[in-house]
Amino acid sequence: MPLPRLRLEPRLDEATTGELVVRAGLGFLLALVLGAVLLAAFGYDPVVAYGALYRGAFGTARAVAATLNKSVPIALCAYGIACAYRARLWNIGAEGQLYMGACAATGIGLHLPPETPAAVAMPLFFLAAVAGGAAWAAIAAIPRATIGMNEILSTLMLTYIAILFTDYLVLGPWVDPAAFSFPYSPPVIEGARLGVLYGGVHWGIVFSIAGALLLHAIDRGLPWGYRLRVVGDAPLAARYGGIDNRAVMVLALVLAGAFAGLAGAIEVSASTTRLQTGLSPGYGFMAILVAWLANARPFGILVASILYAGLLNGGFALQVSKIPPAVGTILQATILLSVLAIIGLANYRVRFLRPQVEAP
Amino acid sequence: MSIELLLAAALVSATPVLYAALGELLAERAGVLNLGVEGTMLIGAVSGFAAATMTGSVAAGVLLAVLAGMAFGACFAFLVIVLRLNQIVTGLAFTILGTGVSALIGKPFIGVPPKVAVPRLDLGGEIAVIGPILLRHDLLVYGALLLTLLIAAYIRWTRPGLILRALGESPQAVDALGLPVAGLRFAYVVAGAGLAALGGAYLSLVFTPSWIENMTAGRGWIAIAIVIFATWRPGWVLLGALLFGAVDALRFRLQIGGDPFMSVHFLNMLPYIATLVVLALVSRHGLRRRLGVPAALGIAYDRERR
Repeated sequence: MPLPRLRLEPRLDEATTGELVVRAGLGFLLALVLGAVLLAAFGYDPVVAYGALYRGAFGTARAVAATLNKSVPIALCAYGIACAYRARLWNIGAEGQLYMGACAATGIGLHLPPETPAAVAMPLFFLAAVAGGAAWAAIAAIPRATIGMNEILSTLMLTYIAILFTDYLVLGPWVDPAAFSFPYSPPVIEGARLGVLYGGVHWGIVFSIAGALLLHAIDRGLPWGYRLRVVGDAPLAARYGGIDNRAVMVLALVLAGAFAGLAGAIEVSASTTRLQTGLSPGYGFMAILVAWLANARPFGILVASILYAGLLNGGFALQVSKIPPAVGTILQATILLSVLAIIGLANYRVRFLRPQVEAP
Repeated sequence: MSIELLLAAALVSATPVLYAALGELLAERAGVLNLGVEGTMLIGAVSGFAAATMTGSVAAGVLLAVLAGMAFGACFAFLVIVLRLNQIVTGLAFTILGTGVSALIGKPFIGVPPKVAVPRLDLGGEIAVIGPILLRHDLLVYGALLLTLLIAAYIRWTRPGLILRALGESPQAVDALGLPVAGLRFAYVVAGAGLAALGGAYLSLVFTPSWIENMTAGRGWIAIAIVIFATWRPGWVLLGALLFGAVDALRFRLQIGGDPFMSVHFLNMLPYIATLVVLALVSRHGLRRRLGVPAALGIAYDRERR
């Protein structure tokens, strides 16, 4: 018997922000239900697990501070990804640009005289990071603009080269002799270390908020933001209007690299104080998910990055309740997929078609 | 280590990425970019090891790994083909999902010694030169080589292979033929995920052999790189996988030999750098038409919005 066919038809009206929030909420609930089923299937109490997750993420002042700190690199990478996406370019390589930014900044932070005042060291440190990340992105950006090299694939490849290069640095020329062959560089000089802003929250969050404002300004205020979107949405119209498509493309990706490089420097400066293997547990990749979840909107990214960081920290906290931290990892993916699925599904009308007799 | 043993080791190192890359090739030729290979390999590794340990049968392990990978791939395919979610974001999420799920399933199997071995088949190990390199391996190594040939012939000479190419280049042409674009893409993505899982199972059943969290260590990404390096052609996928295998085998050798950190890291970059160079070469206009990226790669097919 032929089954009735399910067909998805695009809805023609754009969803309002309110509708999107409702859908995202529904997706989140769906993920929690799926996660609870999975937890129960493996013999863990979902209520205990979610309780531990929440406490680890936002339960105490210390947890909130840790979550805010962890949100910074994710948010910064996500702003860059969103910026590149304005020109319809995919920056999959934020992770690599983050590492290259961290390498460049550490180079400054290790080789300046130790007594350099912060007023000198700090700008140099962060400029180096921005330049490092931007240069790494440029390796993908320039061939993208000139010969059309696929930036999704090239930025991905460059990421792995950057991570291997970092490993080389911290095990080779920059290895800390005092670290007993741990893959660490020595700490960067005092002047290059970002201090604590309030409680356990370090200054990185200021960069994160400033990043949101900058992206907002690019969207709303700067003519440059307009060009970015025209190049992305209507490249032919852009050319007709006298916009240099290539320059805009390069700038979009290079700016994305600069954001990611900054994220790397903040990790070194405020979090680890040194370059090390595994500096980022994949912040650059998480940022892609965060940027997508937030629909590439600046303040959406700020909020989504904090929630995502909470999920990361909550996952670690699960261990206290004897629940494997893998549950946290699974929840990350489940939440993302459920939210995307609900939002995606809501863009379509589902219709059941009556089975038809196929012509022979 | 003699050069023959090194090349034999290269072939063994190449096998898991070869399976995964062939699977990714099928998906990408059909127009679907699956960035979840790493996660799928982990699912295959854990389910293969778990099934083989519990049943004591290596065949059961391999079978379950492939089935688990196909189920995982079906979830991915449902989201990106039926619901038309973004392939890049969904693929990344599936890598995260596979990492988490495999860690959860694999918890009881950490440190468990392997109970079974994939049978080896000596096809003439005594023959000079090629004997020790090629003809003294386990069945899965031969399987990978055979599969490469089969897929190459399938894509090149058969009608379904032609349709597979069209799926990635011009799905509207396939649609115009009256063939189900979504259904065919679904099938290739699921088959590809099965192969990726088989590659993962090779790691946990033969290569390592045991279950370790995150044991794929980036091989899924290497597989994606190899498909690009190969410009979506199976024969070149084999070459790319062997290149990676040789680097992998050399790395072991260098690590034994003292203080080689520099050479090891730069050696490890080689597959990625080679891929970048190839990617740049095939971006050039003339070459792109002949060997370039499948035109519809990464784009969900939607009859009403093309």
